[in-house]
Amino acid sequence: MDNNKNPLNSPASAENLRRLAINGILDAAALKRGLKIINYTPNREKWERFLNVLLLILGAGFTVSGIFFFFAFNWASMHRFFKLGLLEVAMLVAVGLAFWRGLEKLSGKIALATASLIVGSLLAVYGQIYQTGADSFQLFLGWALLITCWVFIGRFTPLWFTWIVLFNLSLVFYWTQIVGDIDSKLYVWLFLLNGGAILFWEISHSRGVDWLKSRWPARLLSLPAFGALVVPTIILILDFTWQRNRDPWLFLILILFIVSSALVLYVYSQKTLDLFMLTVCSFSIIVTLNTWIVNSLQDLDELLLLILSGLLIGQVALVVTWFRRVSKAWEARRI
Amino acid sequence: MKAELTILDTLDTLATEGFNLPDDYKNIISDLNIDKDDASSPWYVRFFVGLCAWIAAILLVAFLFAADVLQTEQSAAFIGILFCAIAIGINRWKPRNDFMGQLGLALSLAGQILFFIGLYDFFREDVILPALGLILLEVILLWVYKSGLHRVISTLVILGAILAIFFDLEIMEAVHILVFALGAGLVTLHTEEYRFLIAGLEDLILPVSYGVAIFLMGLLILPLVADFDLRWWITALVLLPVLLFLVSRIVADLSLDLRRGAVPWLFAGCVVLLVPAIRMPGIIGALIVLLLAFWRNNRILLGLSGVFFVFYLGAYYYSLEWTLLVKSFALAGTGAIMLLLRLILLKFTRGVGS
Repeated sequence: MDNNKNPLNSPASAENLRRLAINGILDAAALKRGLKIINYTPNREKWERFLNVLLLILGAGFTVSGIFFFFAFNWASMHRFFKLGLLEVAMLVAVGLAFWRGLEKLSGKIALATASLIVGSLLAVYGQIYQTGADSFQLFLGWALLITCWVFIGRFTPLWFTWIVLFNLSLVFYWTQIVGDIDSKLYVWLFLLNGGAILFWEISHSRGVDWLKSRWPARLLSLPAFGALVVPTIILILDFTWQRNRDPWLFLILILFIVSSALVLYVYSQKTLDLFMLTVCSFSIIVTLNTWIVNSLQDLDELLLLILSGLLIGQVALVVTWFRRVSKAWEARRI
Repeated sequence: MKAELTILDTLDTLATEGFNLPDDYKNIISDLNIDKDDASSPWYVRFFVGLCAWIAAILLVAFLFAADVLQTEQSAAFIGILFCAIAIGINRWKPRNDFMGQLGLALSLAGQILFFIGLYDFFREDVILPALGLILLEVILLWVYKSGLHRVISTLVILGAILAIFFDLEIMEAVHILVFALGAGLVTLHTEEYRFLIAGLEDLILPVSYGVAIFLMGLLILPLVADFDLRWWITALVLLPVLLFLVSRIVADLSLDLRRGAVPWLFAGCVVLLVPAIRMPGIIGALIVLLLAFWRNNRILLGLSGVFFVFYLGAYYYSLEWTLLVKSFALAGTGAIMLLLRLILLKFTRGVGS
C-alpha cells in the first residue's frame, strides 16, 4: 500500500479519532485522551487562557457600561468640569494602560478599545453640558473620526468593526434627522460603506495583515451590505411605476445588486472559499427572485402558494448542491 | 514549526500511556477507509436550509387551506401524517440527494403543522391532547428521520409542547423542574458524549443536545418578561448544583486538586453567582452551556452561549428597577470584580503553570 495513503499516516484530526472509536479501535477513555493529545479539547493552559480572556472582556465591558450609565444619569449636582475631568482621566488611564501593557497584548488592545468607547461618552457629556444642539449623526461621526488613529494603531478587529458601525450609525441618523426621509441614496451609501469595508478587509487579508485574520467581521458586514441592496430592489419590484418616476436611483441599486451578486458568487467560490458569503448572497437572490415571481404571477391566486413552495425547495436544493460541489473542488485543490 | 500528529503517532502515545488498544490495530486501521465521505455543512448553511424549509412548509399549508383541500380536521391530521410518512420515505430512500432532502424536510414540517392543526380542531381547542399527540409524532420522527437539522427541530417542538402543557395546566412552577432536567440532561449528554459516539448514537444525541441547549436558553429569557412572574430563585437554586457538578467534572478532567490553587476560588465564584442569578437564573444557565461548549470544543454551542451570555447580562441590568446612577455603580462594580478575579487567576496560574 502506498505509504501516503495508509490511514495510519493521516492527520490525527478529531474526526479521524472519532471514526476510530466508532470502529471499535478506541474506547471512550482512549478517545478522550486522544482528543487531548491532538489539542482538540482544552488542556489546563487553554482553560487558563479562556478564563483570562473571558474575565478581561467582561470586566472591561462592564466597566465601560458603568461609565456610560453614570453619565447618562446626568447628575445635576456634579460640576461640569468634574464630569468632563472624570471622563478624561478615565480615558487617559485606559490609554496609559494600553501603552503600559503594549498593543501587541490583548489586555493592551482592550484598554485602547475602552479608551475609544470613552471618547463617545465624552462627546455625549460635552453635548449634554453645553447644549451644543448637535444631532446624533454628528456625535457618531465625530466619535468615529476622533478614534480613527487608534483604530489603525490598535490593530484590534473588534475596534475596527465598532468604527465601521459608528459610520453606519452616522449615515442612518443623518438621513433620518437631516434629510428627513429614508430614500434610495441612503441604501447606496450604506452599500458603498459596508462593501468598501469588506473590500478593504479582503485586500488586507490577502496581503497577510495579521489582525484581520478572522473572517467574521467581513462576514457580518455582508449582512448590511446585501440588506442595503435587497430592500430597495424589492421596493422597485413591488411598486415599479410609482418608484420609477420618483426615484431613478433604484435602477442604479438594481445594477449594483446584479453586479455585486455575480462578483461575490465568483470571488467566494473561485478565488477563495467562503460559504457564509455565498449563503448570504444566495439568500438575497432567492428573496428578490421570488418577490418578482409573486409580483408577476399574482393572478394565479392560491396556486401561486404551491408554485412558490416548490420553487423555494428547488432553489435551496440547487444552492446546497452547488455549495457541495464548490467545497469538494476546494478540497481537491488542497490535496 | 510543530509537525502535525498522525494517527499512528497518537495511537503510539496512547499505547505507551497504557490505554487498551486491539493487538492488531495497525492492520485494522490500514483496511479502514477514513476519508471524509459526508462533510456536514456549516451551521449558517443549515440555518438557511431550515429557514427556507419552514417558509416552504408554511406556503404549502397555506395552499392546502386556501384551495379548500382540507375540508375537515381529520383530513388535516391525516394529510399531516401522510406528509410525514412520505418525508420519512424520501429521507430513507435518498438520504444524500439535496433536492430530496429539502423536499423531505419541507414536507415533514408541513405535515407536523397539519397534524397539530387537525388534532387541535378535533379536540375542540384543547391543548394537552394535541400536544401529547405532537410529542408522540416528534419522538417517532426524532428516531426515524435521519437528519441533524430535523432532529434539532423535533427536540425544540417536543420541549415546546411540554411547556405548553405546563402552561395549559397552570402549573407554571413546573418550569423549574423542566429547567433542571434540561440543564442536567445537557451536562449528561456532553459528559457521556464519547460513550454515545461509540454506541453509534452521535448522530442522534448531538442534534438533541443542540435543541436542549437552545430551548434552555430560550426558557431562561422568561424571567426578563414581566408577565412570567415566577419564583425564579428556585430555578437558580436548581441550576447551581448542575453548574457545580460540571465544574467538578472539568476540574477532575484536568487532574486538579479540589482543595488547592484557584479551584476553591472557582467553586466560590460559582456560589457567589447565585446573588445576581436569584433574579436572573439565565446567568447560570448560560455559564453551563458556555463551559460545556469550551470543554468539548463545540463551536456552535460556544457561539450561541457567548451571544446569549452578553445579551442576558445586558438585559439583566436594563431590567433592574434602579436609577441609572445605582445601575452604573453596579455595572462598574461587577466589572471591577471580574478584573480582580482575573488578577487572582493570573496570580495562581503564574505560580503553578510555570
